[in-house]
Amino acid sequence: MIRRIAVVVVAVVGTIGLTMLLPAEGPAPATPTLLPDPVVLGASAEASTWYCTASSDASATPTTHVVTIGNPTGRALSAAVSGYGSTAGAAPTTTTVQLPARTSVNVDRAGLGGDATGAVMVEASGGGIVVSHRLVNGRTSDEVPCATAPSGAWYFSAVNTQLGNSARLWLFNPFAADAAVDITVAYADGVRIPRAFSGLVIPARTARLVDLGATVQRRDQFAIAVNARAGQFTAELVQHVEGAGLRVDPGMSRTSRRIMFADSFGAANVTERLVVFNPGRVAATATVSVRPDGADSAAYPEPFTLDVPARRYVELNLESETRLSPTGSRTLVVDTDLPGGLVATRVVAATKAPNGLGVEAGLANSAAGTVAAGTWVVPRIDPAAPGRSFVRIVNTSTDSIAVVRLIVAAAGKDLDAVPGGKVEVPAAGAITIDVGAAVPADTQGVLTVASSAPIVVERRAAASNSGDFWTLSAVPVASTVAPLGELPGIPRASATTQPSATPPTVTTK
Amino acid sequence: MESPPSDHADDDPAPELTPDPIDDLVDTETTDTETTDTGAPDPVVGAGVPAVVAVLVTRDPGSWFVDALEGLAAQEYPNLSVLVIDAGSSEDPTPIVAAALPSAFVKRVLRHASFAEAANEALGAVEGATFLLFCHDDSQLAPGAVQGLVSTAFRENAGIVGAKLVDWDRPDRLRSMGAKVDRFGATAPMVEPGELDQSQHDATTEVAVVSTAAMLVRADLFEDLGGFSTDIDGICEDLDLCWRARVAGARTVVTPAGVARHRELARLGDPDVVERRRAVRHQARIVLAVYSPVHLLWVLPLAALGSALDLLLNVVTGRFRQAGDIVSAWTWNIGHLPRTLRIRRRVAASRRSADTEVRSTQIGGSVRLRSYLGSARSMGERRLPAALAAARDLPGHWQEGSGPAAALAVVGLVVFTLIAGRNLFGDGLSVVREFAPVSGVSALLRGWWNGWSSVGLGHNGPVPPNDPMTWLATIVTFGSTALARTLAVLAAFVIAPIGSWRVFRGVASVRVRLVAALATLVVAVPFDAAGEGRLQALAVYAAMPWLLGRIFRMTGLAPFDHGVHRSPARQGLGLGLTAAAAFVVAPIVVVVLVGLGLAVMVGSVLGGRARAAGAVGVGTLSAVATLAVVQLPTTIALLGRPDRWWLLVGSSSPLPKVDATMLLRLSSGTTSGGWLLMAVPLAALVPLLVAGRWRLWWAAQCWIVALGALSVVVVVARWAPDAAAPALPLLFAPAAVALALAAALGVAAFESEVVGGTFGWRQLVALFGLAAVALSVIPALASAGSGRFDLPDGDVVAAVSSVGGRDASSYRTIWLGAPDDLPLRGRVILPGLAMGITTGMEPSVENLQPPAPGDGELALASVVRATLNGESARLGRQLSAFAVSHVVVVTDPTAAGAEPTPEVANALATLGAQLDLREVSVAPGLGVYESAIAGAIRRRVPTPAAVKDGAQSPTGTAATDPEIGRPGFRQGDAPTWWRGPVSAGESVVLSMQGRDWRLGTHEGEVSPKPFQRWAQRFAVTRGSTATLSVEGSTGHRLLLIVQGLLILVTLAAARGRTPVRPGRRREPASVPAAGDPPPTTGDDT
Repeated sequence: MIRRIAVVVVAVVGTIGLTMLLPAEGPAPATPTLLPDPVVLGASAEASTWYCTASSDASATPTTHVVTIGNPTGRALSAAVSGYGSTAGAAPTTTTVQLPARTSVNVDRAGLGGDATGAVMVEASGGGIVVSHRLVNGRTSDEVPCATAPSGAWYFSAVNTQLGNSARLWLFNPFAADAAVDITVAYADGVRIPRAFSGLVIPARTARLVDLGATVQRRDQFAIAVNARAGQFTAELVQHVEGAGLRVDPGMSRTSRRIMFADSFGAANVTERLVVFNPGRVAATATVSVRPDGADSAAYPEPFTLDVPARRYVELNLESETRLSPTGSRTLVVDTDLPGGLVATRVVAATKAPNGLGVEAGLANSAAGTVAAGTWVVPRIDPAAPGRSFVRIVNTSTDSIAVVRLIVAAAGKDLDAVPGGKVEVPAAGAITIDVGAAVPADTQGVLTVASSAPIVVERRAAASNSGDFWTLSAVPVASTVAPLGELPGIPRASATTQPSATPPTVTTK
Repeated sequence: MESPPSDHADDDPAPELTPDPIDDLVDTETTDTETTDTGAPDPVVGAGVPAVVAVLVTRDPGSWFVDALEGLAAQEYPNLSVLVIDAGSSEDPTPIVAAALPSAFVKRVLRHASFAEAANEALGAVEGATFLLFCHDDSQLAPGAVQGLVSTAFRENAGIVGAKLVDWDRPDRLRSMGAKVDRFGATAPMVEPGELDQSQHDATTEVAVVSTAAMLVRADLFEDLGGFSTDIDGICEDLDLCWRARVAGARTVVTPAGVARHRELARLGDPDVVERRRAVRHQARIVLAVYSPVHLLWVLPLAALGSALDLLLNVVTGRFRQAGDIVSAWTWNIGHLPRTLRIRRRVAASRRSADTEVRSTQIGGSVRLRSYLGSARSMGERRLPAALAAARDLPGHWQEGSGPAAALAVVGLVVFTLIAGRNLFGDGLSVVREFAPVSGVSALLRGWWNGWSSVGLGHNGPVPPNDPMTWLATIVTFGSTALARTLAVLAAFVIAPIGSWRVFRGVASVRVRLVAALATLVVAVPFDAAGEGRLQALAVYAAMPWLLGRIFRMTGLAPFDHGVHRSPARQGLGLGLTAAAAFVVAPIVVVVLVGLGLAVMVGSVLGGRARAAGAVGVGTLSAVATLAVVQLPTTIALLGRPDRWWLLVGSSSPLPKVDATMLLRLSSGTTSGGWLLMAVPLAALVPLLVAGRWRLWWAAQCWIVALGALSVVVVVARWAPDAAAPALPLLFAPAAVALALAAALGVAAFESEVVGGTFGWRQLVALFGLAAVALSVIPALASAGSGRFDLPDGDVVAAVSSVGGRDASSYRTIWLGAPDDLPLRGRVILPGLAMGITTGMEPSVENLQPPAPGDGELALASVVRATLNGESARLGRQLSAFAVSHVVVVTDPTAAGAEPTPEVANALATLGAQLDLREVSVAPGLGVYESAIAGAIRRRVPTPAAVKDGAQSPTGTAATDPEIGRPGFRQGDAPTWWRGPVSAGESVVLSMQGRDWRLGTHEGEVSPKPFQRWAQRFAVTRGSTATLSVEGSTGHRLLLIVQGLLILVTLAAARGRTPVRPGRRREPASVPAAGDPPPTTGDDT
């Protein structure tokens, strides 16, 4: 009997024991590395492709469109630069450009032949290069890195079609099949897809220009979501504000749960507006944290809590917020509880050049930073007088000092951008470095910012003709990309985060 | 007794005719064709277009006859004459003809002639016609039909052209578009009669036979063939004529350019003989007459075997009339053999085409067998009650005896399996996961013999052993690969229960064996495996009872110690051979075998039977060695390849999340059944509670096996969750079968130790066990409801079959997706993403066990990986060097549009962003991308001196780019032999790995040079027709011969019997013998 009992116990207990040993969770799902856009591929990559979508517009004031291809690597490369027009079926015009090691090359869109306007695609014979393009319209100008990945959706949070302003959306389809898109317009009080924006076809291998102001008239703020019915494409928004300046908005092709604007600043005659757009179908709560430079985390201002309805946007005018210092550099971090994430844009306007900020009277926006990285590349850096060309570095590590080396590749050489070649950024701290003198006169360079800890890098510069300024995100190197980690004083919003009972001063239009 | 019908070919008396046929050619006004008043043209005189004589055969026509004539009258063909042949009508149809078609001629055959006899009158009555158009009196040609048929005959260079036949009353319904034929003469119509005509079949198609209702025949061909064979009257004369025409080198096509309404009421057949019987015997007669002697040598035995099987199935299922048809067909043909031999001589004289050419137009397999199995699907439910009723009425001694019971059990198993899988016959087996299709069976066999395979990017070396087995399986199904696949899946449902039955053969009652078979059948494992497309799991499940039974016998413990005695090492031979059979499909069976041996050894040691444990250890080692020897080429290859564990595991995917209910139900969750699936495990507890002696011992052993198998699941799930692991049904299979055997031991205990005892808890427990066994049947019956084990209807291969346009043998496809979703065995190239390569767009069974990756595959994986990492926007360009024309991303193995995993979604987005790939919209569960610039596997490129190895030529054109080049080689009679023109100064690039490829030209043999470090290039200096071929390795063939010898030797050694020598019994008396047992364990001690 004892043996029988033993056998039964072994069978029963063994079975139950085995069921209890089973893990509660299955195998962790693999999470593919979703590279940000744009991104610099490693030098070992066999090719890299860049899409410069926005272009000069024949219907507006004559505008110059220049593509800058920077090769900070130590090997010579070549690139096929193709200009795409708006005529369906027309073959792109292609020029091969040699890219000597540690140089950057400018290509004027008008010189590519074919249509004088239209998108540009750069196909390099290797990785490690970075491409940006800038539009110059008289005394106003703006520059953004080109995109490295097409997408089926693009979001633009801040569009203005007030009288005298223009908002022109460029859509670029470099593929062999036509793409069709819908443009959803989010107003403060509703959402619609105007008939003119429904089912827009972007013929294969063409760029298409959509004048948003022709359909959405006299609005000082709205957001748009461009969604593909078929195909993929790239998009950029060219915004010209009368009397303020020109800005090129690269938009966002993906939503994110954490967004960082590394180079926020307050100054007299400067307005800074943050627009948070929720393109999803579920309402979200966003928290905007402000981290003034040099302040202890305990002394950070109370975060702003924004309720963002589904498919709508919320604006936050920072210069009018009393809890913020009116001057000084700071970092903005937007977090959301929405699993799908949000998009955001920061728009900066200066009515008069403030001192020492590298900002002229003008208009700019900065793209949202959604990742940290160990190495960043600033596409183009020109020689400039002191106080007119800056690089902003934010250390996203909470416990490591970032030892940052700044190297300018110009005229075939690697040059230190700062004395000694290195700077240190404290953990969770930020610095702003004047790099105007790092480049020899009569040349231009590519700035590589390599850090021992994850950082976020932005660039701010005034135009050489003193007519405008721009702020742009540097481009991370793919192999060094990391998620934006936890930051002191900035708790990541969770699904249980409740909206603030007493919302701050928020302008919802 | 029926007199044999005459054949026109021999010298039998001609039908009774009027004295002078010419005199009988009448028009409506006069009986003299030469002096027609109407000025009707001479039917044999051309008028700028080929002369066509419509030969309308009639006998006692109905009212529709006028419509038929008017159809001919309405034809606009300028050189058409009509000859109406009356085959013995009771009333002269001439007045009707005269009224409807004044220009027609009427010829009356006074005796009751068959259609063939009547139609053959045209041979003597018509001269100078280019074509004869045979019509029935109940078929009406649509306007323009004659023009369409004639133009098709010229355009297609066809000897016989058939019209598209539609229903007389409902012309939107199809009646016939010709038929294909199998090698046994059974026809398979191209369209389903009554099918709605939506122009879906509107294409001129080569067929085996077209209907005589509207059949255009080249007049000279008809004359050469001697007209219709008159010995096969009323049915199949059309097939006979078309087949003989094909042998004579003339094609038969059917065309929608000519349409005819057909009433199918012509009274020309022999009403005394039912149509099916005539069809069967006439088809057999045709087969006997038309094949060459060599071809007949192997067709005839196959036909005899098929007929025997057909006969057996019909007898078993009570269809005695059909059985009689088969008997009649053979007897009739034996009786008519002399006449058939005369026809054979005439066919031989006219032969212009080899039988291999004729065979190439035929369909594989047996149409009749397929039809039977298809009908079994719908008939199954009706047959099961009948079978059960028959069982109930069996005499009592049948139910007591083991032999009849076994036969009944087998019949029941087969019937249940056919019902449960009935829809797999009609709808086909979806290509899900391991249910790969089979293509090119003969190529598989050649590859196996030559040691060369085109899987991946091609390789030399041993081919997986499933190739010859696949070939053998298709032999059994008469060449039907689809049927072979279906039967391979269903076989597991029969083999495993039979194995469980045999475990207790001679040691337990029929009831115990029945419960063992039943419990083995109803566990969730086979249903899960079939529903998920897990062939390996089915193979392991099928083998499991056979392996366990042999291991049990190795112990020499009661009750498995009776009969002959062999040493454990010798018993291991049989065990190894059994495992080797499963190894063909599931290499992991070797691991399972070792695991089973270890489990039984552990159990034996714990039970104090160290000697038995030792015997099992020796036997298992012997079995593993045997398996290694009989699979010698695979063993050698396996030991030499670095990814041997990957091949053994048989999966690239980690286990899914396993919860307690899955473990307790031994189910992966595909089969519904809820808690009832726990019935067998619960019943398996019963013998532990109530059994004694050897029953308790073996029940405990079964539980140890089961717990061991479940432990593997738990260990993998907990400690190696990310490692590639076999599918859950495979891991559950040992536990499921072991517990099924334990449940049967509960019945044995019920018989021996419960029945007859005083009522107590034992009786209650035993009754509970019996109830559990009864309940366990319910989920199985429910699973049988779908008729396809819930296997999805759709699959990705069917979905991509609509993508075509390229020569499938010249381009490759790469498949991307989650490792468990691909319809082939992929290799993981990124976390959560696997890649496989196929030639063309259809995976094959070869792709389930791909060879170790070579340099080419590694390079291709690197290219794809880099692209998915965002390092290229022109993947098509890079794939062209690998001859990859398509990339298929599988988001859902059933092509039903399930949400893709993040990794697959990332791949879709990346591929969608490639500048030189075009997305092809196919199905929701698929992303298909086509490259416009793929180079062919065998391509010609210019000027080797101008092209450096591995050079990229971004600006090159297709004609000058070495990675694109120009295709131009056509396959010979084997995939190892290609032929095509090569110009002077050209090179032939072969995007294929592997050695031993040679290019033969007029100048001699050209040796290859490496191209891109993995492919090959042959430089040619003078233009010629070149032959690209690969020769097999002699060493490899020797190895196969050695393997065959080893298998024979092992079989002989395993079957050799050693009588029991009482003095050599290994086990001491303490180990009980059946029937007289001192207890070895349990409470009896």
